[in-house]
Amino acid sequence: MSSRRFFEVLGSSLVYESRESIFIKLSIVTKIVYIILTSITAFLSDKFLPLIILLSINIGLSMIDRAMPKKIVMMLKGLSLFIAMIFLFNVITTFLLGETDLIDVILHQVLATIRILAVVPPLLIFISSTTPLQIIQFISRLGVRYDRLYPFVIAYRFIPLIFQEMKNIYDAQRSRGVELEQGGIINKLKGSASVVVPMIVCSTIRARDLAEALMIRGFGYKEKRTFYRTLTFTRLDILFIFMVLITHVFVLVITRLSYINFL
Amino acid sequence: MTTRAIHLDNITYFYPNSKEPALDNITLYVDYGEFIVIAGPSGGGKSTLCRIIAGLIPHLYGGKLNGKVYIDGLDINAADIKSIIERVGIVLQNPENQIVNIVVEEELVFSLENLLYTRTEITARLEEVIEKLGLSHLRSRTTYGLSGGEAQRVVLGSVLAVKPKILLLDEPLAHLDPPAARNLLEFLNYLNKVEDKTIIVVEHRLSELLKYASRLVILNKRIICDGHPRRILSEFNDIDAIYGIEVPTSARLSKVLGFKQPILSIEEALDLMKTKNLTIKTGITNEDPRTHKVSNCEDKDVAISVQGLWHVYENGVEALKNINLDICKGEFVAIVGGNGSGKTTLIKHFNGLLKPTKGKVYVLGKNTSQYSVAELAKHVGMVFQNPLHYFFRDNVYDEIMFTAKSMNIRNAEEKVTEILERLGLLNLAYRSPYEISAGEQRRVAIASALVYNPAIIVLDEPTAGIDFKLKLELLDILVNIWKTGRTIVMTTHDMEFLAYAPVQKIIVLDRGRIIATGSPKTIFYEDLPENMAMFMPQLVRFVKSIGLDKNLKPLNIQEFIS
Repeated sequence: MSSRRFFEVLGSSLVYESRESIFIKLSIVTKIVYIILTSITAFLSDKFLPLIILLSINIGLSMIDRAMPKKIVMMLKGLSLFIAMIFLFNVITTFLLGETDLIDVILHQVLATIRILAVVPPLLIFISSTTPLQIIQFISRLGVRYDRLYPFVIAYRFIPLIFQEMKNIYDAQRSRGVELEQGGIINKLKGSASVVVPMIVCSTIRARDLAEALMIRGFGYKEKRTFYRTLTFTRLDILFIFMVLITHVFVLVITRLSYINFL
Repeated sequence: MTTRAIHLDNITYFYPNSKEPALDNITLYVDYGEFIVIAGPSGGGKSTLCRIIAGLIPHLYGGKLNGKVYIDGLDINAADIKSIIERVGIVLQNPENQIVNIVVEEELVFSLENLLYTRTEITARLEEVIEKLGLSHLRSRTTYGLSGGEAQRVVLGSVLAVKPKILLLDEPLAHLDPPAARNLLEFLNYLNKVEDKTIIVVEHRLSELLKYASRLVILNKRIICDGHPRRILSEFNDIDAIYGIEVPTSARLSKVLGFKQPILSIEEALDLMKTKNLTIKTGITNEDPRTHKVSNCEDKDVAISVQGLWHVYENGVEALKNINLDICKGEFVAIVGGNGSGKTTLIKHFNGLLKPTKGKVYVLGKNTSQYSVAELAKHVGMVFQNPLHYFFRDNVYDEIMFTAKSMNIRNAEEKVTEILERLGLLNLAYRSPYEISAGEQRRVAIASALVYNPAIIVLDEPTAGIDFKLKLELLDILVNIWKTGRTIVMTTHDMEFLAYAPVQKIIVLDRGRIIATGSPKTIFYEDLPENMAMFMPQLVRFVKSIGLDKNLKPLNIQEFIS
């Protein structure tokens, strides 16, 4: 997979998507509670069976939204190389530095990987169904000023545009004979100026427009601002948290009941 | 002092670190309920004037502002931002850059939230704006998937949510296709006539705009003239050539028809003809239809051949559907269609930037799927819409030399000097490409594509955002290139420009399909479907409306007169 394709795949699984979904209707608090509960359960479970059950439960819950399984696959596809590298690195270093059995080391790493995988569905649900503004609204309730958090929203909004612009610049340069994917490192570095310089100029223009847009919308007028949406807790939230609680408690019970090593 | 919507008194403004004033001694009064069009050459200070009225100058830009600025009685220098925003709303040139939030609904209420309106008030205003602008289908959509026209409506909605008395739009038509432009202008007219808003539009494209305006101001750092559009158009000759103002075809037509006052729209011309019982007799029986036929090219004369081309993007969007076309060597071809019709996707296949999902594209007999972009670029010079995407060298000469060297041409120095001379850029050779004007930048981009002498030149929306004078300059350059035997292909939705270009073939795209191909006269007078009537040049609409199209088929006023 080329690096450009890698970022495209990973990026598309990580963006907020507007569509009819139960997760969009859930309160941000519910989604945070879900992530925390899964993290705690995964941390407390140190055996295969409960962890596999936890992973299956989370994948099952995510499947309430039909688009989620595809997103999870895309995310894992994007991260597979990293996960494999970290896995190998951990196995080798733990085995060389420690005095434990190799099989034990591998099994421990497999457990750690399943733990991480179990947290992926709630994280993806959170990212793809929560707008950055909702996150800001939540954090600003904790007393943080909204204008200090807004660069996060702006970055989220403009990164895809900047990528698109980079693609256009790249196309323009290729049209005049620049071949950025051929030749040695020095040639590539020289060629990259043809993309980087126009990119900086265009981003500067964009930044100027953005500064104007923020001012004429009254951004930073006062320390506080209104949020037109309320962080309300509905029956759906209660039902969802209840389901998560029951299933996760079940996983913990299995963990306590399981006496066989790793199982 | 009587309160006016806008009151500018002896305004002179210098940007920070600049010794040249961007505006020089401007005095302008605007009454409530006026619809003002501000036009003038690029670099004439129009955007600066917008920034002053919106309070961006001096609050954001600094610099030195002399004179007094009152907006709805408020001294803009001393006012706080809330007071300004509640009086004047502005839509800047590039709406895409003004959208801050991820979801349309969040964007629409952004100003209201910042200005601490109550939740109840925000919800009420949100619903009002959504209904007024017809945004209900977009309200939950993400903002990065919006088209140019949609993005503009969202920004406009966000501005209108604050209910300002004055609405200011900086080049709102620059990137809109004719139907979208017409919709926007109709909406502005509604705001002006029904809601009594004061409207100020800064624009180059005046053909469809002037009929709504109560005043036309021509600005070139100073106010050159200010008055009713009819008066300005009748009193000032050659304002198109001198100040780059696009004089609407209808106004030129009024002289031909013998009306004392310039007419501002085709509809008005038709009404007047009806009232005065005026008819036009041409003395021509029927134009020979054979003169409008596009001849098929022989195999050896084909420059570009597209066969059963489909292009599907990774997100599943079918951008091109079964495209079949031939472009002959030495032909001047225009690809027209609305925003999102697939024009840019199609031309990106001509130099291999995009490869067909299905079907084949041949350029001078070469199957583009089997050649790299660099190899195809030797035959196809591509000029994209934004010249800033090309520039990265210190000066114009080096910029063009870079392309010459990339293409490994012999006598590079000689060729670069020759092309600079041909395009009138020799005096700018050692200037930074970022310091020169927009028209000059476009010429540099064209020079860069011409320096290695490719057989085919492809231009993507070459007239977007440039004034009329620059369009004429561009046309002159294109005609000269074409006369040297090269094939010219350009995409455009600027129909008035197209009416003056010696185009031999027009290809009409609609939602990824070719819906018509033929000579301009065949396309505009016969083949263009009814729902694309706004894509016709003004004169064609006029000739068709009075039923003269059986006898003659002019595309522009010169042809009509002759």
